[in-house]
Amino acid sequence: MLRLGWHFAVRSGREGIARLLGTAAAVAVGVAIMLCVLADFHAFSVTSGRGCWECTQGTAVAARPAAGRHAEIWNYGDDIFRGQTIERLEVASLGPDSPVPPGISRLPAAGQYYASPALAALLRSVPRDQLGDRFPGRLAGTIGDRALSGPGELVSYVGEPVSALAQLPASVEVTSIATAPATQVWSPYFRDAFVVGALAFLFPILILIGTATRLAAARREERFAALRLVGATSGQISVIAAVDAALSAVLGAAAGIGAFELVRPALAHSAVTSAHYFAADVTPPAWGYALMLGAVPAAAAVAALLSLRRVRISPLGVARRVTPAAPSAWRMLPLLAGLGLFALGMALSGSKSIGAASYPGLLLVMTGLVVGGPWLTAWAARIAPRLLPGAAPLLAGRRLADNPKGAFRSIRGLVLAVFLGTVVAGLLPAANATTATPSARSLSDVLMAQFLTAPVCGNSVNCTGGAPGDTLQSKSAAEQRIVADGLPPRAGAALVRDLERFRGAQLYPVYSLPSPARPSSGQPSSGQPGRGGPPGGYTGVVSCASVRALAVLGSCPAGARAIEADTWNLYGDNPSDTTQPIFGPADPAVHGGLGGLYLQSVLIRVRDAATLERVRTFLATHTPLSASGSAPRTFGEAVRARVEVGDTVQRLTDIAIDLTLLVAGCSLAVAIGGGLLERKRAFTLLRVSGTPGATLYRVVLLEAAFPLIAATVVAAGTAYGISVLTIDRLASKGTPLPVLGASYYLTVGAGLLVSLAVILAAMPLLRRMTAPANARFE
Amino acid sequence: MKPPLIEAVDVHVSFGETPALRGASVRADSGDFLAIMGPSGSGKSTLLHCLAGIFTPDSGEVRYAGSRLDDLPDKRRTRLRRTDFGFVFQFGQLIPELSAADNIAMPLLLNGARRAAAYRQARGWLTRLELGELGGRRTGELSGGQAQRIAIARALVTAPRVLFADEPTGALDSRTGHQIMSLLIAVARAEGTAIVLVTHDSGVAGYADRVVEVADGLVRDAVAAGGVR
Repeated sequence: MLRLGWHFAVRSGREGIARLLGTAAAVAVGVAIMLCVLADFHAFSVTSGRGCWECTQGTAVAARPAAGRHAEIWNYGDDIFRGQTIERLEVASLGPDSPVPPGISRLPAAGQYYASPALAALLRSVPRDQLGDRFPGRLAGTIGDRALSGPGELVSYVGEPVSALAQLPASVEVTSIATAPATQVWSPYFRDAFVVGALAFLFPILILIGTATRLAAARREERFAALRLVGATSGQISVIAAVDAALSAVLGAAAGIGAFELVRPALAHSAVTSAHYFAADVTPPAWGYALMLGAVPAAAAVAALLSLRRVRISPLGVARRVTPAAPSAWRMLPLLAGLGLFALGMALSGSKSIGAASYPGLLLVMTGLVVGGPWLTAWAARIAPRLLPGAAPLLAGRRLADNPKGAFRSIRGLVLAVFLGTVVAGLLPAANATTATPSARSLSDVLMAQFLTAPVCGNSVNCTGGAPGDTLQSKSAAEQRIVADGLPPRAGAALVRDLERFRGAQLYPVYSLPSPARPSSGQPSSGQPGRGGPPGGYTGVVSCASVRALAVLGSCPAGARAIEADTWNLYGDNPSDTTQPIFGPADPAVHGGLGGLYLQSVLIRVRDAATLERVRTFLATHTPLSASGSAPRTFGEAVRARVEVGDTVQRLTDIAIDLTLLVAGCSLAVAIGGGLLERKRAFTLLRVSGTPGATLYRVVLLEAAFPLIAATVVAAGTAYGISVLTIDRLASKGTPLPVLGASYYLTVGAGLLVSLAVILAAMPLLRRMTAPANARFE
Repeated sequence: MKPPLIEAVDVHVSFGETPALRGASVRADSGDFLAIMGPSGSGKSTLLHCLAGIFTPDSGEVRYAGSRLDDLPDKRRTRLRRTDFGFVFQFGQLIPELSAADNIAMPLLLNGARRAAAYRQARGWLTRLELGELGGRRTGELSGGQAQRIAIARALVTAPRVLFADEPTGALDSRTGHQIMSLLIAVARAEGTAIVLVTHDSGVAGYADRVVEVADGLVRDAVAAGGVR
């Protein structure tokens, strides 16, 4: 039987070969996509499981650290260049056996630094005053891959003298370097998204494999009936069918692996999750390959066997076990229930939390679209012939009404893709709009450098959550003052003078109001009672000239030269908060000079990118006393950092949509090709009896178009409604209704056009197949 | 007394509400050539399918070599079709993807015969039916007459005791039909195989030793045929 199965698969003439290749191609597309997903997931897992040396914790540095110990002074922080984060570790050895961070063989001596390959390349390509000056000394070598999460990561290990580094407020003493993976904020979400995404892909891919396996099934089943007539048992038929299907799937799996290997280099450079992975990591685990070669053919064989169960193959021919019943309106119930559940979840949502019922509601809606699709198809099949003139809609409608479930099967992937795409396209612009507010945009060229401790480490996807101020309990009073208030007056005044001399930069200093009581924890002082500021808020003083220049941050009382206000909001990581007005006419005016105050932060409006980087380089090299662990960044960069997370989600969704459309398009192609082969006789009879070829083309086109349009409109409408409901409940008041952008119409439109092209591509086959000259009736 | 090779006794078959056979009885002995005649829809094909164990009657009995056939499980009946019965239908029921030799060898292969032996026999039949040069051709490429000859070879390759033929010349012109019938009878006689043939064509029925007529689900009468032409 195995031999016969092999024979059926590979030696069945042109039709058999076409079926084999069609099935194999469909399986290859599915396998290649699955391997891409597995490869990226593997790279993501390897990267997020990398030892987090950045998470190294230490103890407070003694005023005079003793030498000759297995320890080092460690000062870790972020820097930024053109929106890219540079991880910067300043380090000073306290003995010959000081722990060495990964990627290098020994610690850099004072006056030396190591750079990651990407940073080294950057240093070679940009003017020194924009970046190179931030790394004084000699480049001792490059940092190896073990320290990096990807080839594009910018990392530096800078050697400093013990005496200098020990004086910095953010320095700690380290005796061992952390090797455990980081507890990352976004990783669990991405991991879950990957798993859900992989499962979501599995669904249409299994549909594709199942559809491909059913290619020309009716004709094959007739052969099986002939075998039954001469004495083949049902078991033997099953073996033949399984071998036939599995062989195509093995061929397809091998071709899919080959195709994946071809696209793997491009995949490694694609930065799907906004991070470039090492090419060696962008590969599925060995079990992934084994799964494709083993499970996919097995799945194909099972699909073939299941499809045999739907028919009774007797020696006299094939009888459908059951005539598919017309789908009832009850099929729409899960969709309606899902919408209700989602609406309930939204009703229970606040501006900061989403009602738990929303998630199962969303899943139920997606399930409901799949379950309800056949009913919609049947409905479209009934309505369309009444609305459209001619024989083609009638023929297509009758055929669809006969088996709406089968007709919808090949397009349900498309419908889900349209649904997901519409939800994301509706929600993301609104989410981004809450970050890129008009006031944030008006400050996009304003750099903010704070000198007191940073309560957050910025909006980085790889944010470790560590803050240097955590270890400052035993610092001197002077250092604790810096942590709480910023740079001391003399250092602050010198910095302000120097910055004012920069061409193309407008400086707006923010000073700290002296506070009588300082907390011992290193946290900054609270705002004055009754001011409405949060516990631990900062009290700042700004000149009214600065306030006028930064009008979105508020205004001064009439006649005032300087104003006092709670500046807590200014130092958050959400631009929609940091750019809210913080000064007002009701705030108390400050009299007298500001020169004697601690410098809390500076806001600098820069003319262009080169000036920005020169100023940033100056700040990096002239603020050694700064207690901030966050690099100076513009409000525009802060917005971009937030928007980038949304962009990553958008990109992942677009990729998911495109791949789903691709898989669904393949399913459609296979289904249409298979349908044509199955109905060769009927179509030829129609042609022979005088039906114009164009009418048959319209029949095939409409058979795909009716369910596609009906289900897509419902999916898109449902998704848009969900977006509107979500924005209404979760977004701030005044957020406009979502408008689906050009990229949405491009993505979905392109998908539908590809589907149309797939359908049209089948026309030559139809023309050739139904040519009256080729009419042959067995 | 030796039991008939195959017989149907008071067989009833209905398809839904529509009765196809309403107490049909018929028998054939070894070497017999029985023709079952009747107009379209009379139930003659249903009777043949019951005799061959393809259909299970609603009531009544079908016996083969003295044993009940109708209550055998599908597996046993399938085996009988493979070993004791042969079939020739109107369109041959050949497998178009397979070559003529493959089709003839198929019942032997399904029966567990060695490949070389099965194809040796197939080639023998091809030569016997003067189709030697067509052995490698796919049956989808053959003419109707050639395909029917292949079907006869396939039906007889296992040396069955009964050959069931359902309108075997229905798709052929009269000259080719005559050739096929002559060949069928000659080969069956040579093999000692009984023939149960269904036809609506009295000319074809005229080849049979015995003719029964089915009308409205009943075997009305049996008439002596004119013998082999």
